[in-house]
Amino acid sequence: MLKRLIKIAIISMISGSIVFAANFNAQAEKDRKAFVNYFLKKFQDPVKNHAQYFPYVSVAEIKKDYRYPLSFQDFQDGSLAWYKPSREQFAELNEFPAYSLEVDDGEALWNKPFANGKTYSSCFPKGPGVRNDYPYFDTKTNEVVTIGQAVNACRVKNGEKPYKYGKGKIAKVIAYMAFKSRGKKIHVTIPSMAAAKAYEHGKKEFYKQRGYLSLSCNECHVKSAGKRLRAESLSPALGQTTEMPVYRVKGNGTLLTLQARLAGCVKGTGAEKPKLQSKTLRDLSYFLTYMSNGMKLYGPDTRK
Amino acid sequence: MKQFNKKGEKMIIVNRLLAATLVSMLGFSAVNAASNDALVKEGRKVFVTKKLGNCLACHTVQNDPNIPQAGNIGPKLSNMDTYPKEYIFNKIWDPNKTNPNTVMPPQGRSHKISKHQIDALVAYLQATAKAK
Repeated sequence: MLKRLIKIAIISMISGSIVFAANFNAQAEKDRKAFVNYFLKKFQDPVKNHAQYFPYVSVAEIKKDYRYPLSFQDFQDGSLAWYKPSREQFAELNEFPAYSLEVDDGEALWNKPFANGKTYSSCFPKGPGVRNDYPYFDTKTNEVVTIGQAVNACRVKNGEKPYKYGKGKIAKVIAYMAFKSRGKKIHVTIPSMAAAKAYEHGKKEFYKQRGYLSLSCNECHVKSAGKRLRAESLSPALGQTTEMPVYRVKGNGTLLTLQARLAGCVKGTGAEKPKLQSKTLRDLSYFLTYMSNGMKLYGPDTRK
Repeated sequence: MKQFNKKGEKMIIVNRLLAATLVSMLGFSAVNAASNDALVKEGRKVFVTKKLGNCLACHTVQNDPNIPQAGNIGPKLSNMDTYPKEYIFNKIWDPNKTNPNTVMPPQGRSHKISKHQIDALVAYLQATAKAK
C-alpha cells in the first residue's frame, strides 16, 4: 500500500513538473494576447472608437491623417503605420535609404577576418540572418542575452576588443544581421522559471513611472500611441523592436541599437539614463520583444 | 490772501484727499494691469518652451492663433476663466491627486517649474479665455 502511495506521489510530482514546465510562458502569453488585441481594437476604426481611445483628437484629423484599420503585421512600421503625413515622407526617404551605407559597412565588418583568421561566422554558424533569435534567455547563466552581447562575446572569444555599445561599428554589424533577417518572425521563448522572472522584471520596468515627468513606457507607447506629442506621432509599443537597429534622421542621422534607443527614451522622461546592457534594459527588451512575437522583422529602418 | 472759514478749509482738505486717492488708485490699477500683462507673457513662454512647462506638447489653447502646432494627447484648454485659479494651480502642481490614471506630469511636485511659473501659467490660461 505504502509503495503504491509513493509511486502515485512520484508520478503526480513528475507530471506536475511537466505541466509546470510547459507553463513558464502562461502569464506572458496572456499578456501578449491582451497587448495585441488592445492595439488591433484601437486602430480598427478610430472614428467609431473615438471617445474610447482618441477623446482629444478631432474626427476631422483622424479622417484626414490616419490610416486604418491596421493588421498585426502593419505595426512593424511603428508610428508610420497609422500616421499618413510621416508615412509619405518615409516612403520618399526610403527610395534611397540612408541606412544602406551602414548595412554595407556592416557586411564588410562581418566578412573581415579577426587577427586569428576567423570571422563572425565562427560564432554564428547559421550565418548573419539570426536577428530574430535575440534576445534569448540563457538557462546556463540565467541572464537575458542581447544580440549586441553575442557580437561582442564573439569578438572577445577571438581575441579582439569588444565594441562600444549603442552606436558605431556594433550597430553596423547588427544592421547587416538585421538586414539578412528581414521577413523572419520574432520567436522569443521563456524556457525556465528564471526566464519568467526576467520577463516579469522587464514588464515591471515597462509600466514603471520614472523621471521628473513621471512617465512610463506604457503611458506614451500604449495609452497615447496614435496621438501626437507636438507634431510627433507616437509609435505603438507593439512591433517597436522589429525595426532595430534604427536609423534616426534627427540631427545628422545616427544608426542606433535597441538598447541605445530604450536608454534615450528613459532619459527623455527626466530619469537617469540606464547603462547599456544593464539588467534593466536587457529585461525590458526581452519583455518588449516578446510582445511582438510572431511579427516579421524589417530592420534596419528609418525613423524621425 | 484768500481767507477761508473753517468749513471751507475742511472741504478743501477732503477734496484734495479724494483727488489723491483717485490718482493713486488709477496709478495702482495701471501698475497692476502692467504686471498682469507681464505675468501672462511669462505664462505663455512657460507654456510653449520645451525646457519649461512644454504644455504645448499635449494641449492646445483657445484664442491664441499664433501658438505653434500643439499635440492632441490632452484636452484643448478653453474657458479657463470659469475655473478657480487655485484649481488650475493644483492641477498643474500635481494632477495625480485628482486623477491617479492621468498621463500628465506633476510639473510642480517634481520641481520642473516653480510656483511663480505656475502662477504665470494660470494667468496666461485665464487670459486666453477672455481674449476674443
